[in-house]
Amino acid sequence: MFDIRIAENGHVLLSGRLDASQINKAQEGFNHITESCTVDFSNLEYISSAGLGVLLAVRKRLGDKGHKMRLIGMNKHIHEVFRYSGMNQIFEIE
Amino acid sequence: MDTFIEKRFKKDIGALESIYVYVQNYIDANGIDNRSSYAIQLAIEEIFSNCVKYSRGGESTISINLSRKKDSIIIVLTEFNAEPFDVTSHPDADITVPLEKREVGGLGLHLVRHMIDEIKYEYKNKNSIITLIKHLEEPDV
Repeated sequence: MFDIRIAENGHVLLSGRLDASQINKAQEGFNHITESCTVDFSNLEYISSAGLGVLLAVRKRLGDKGHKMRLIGMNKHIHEVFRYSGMNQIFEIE
Repeated sequence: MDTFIEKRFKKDIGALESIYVYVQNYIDANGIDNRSSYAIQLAIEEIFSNCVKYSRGGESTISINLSRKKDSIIIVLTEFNAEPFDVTSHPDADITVPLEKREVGGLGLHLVRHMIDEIKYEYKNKNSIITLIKHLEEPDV
């Protein structure tokens, strides 16, 4: 089960599994983000290429307006997916 | 002991949740390490999604079977009475292009090629058969 919500500190919290069946929900959640943001992956178990596509689109939209996107708390398997896809070169990952 | 399971799923992205549960049960029953588990789940999702997106004709279900041979997991996805279409032949994504030119198309297969040890496509008796083989790592401590 995937979920996306905005924490009190403004961080975008992702949780569960972001697979191809959940991209509409993810897109709707990110539509509320219009400025530089931190996305917290601490409770995200899994992401596939469909989820990377959503993040890439958000990164482009924010970047076009001069805003930044920082990703934190990724598990080692998700980090590997970012590395294999070259997305670690595009996102600021901590 | 070698174990084998097979189930058919509706050719629809909405089936991914049921597929996840089906695969995870097999992973748990076989004590598969976490890194291999992620690779197996991802490969099945990417190939299944490509079949939903690109393949035409055939029956409305895709079968997924999982079996274990020693230290490898063999995954077979079959589309029945389908037109021949090799979903594994999609060109690889170019992951070196800058952000503004970056496309997601082909990224799924690119990941599968990195995370799975063998990928094969066969067309037999009007069925499209995709076989994925993952060599397992040491179980997690």
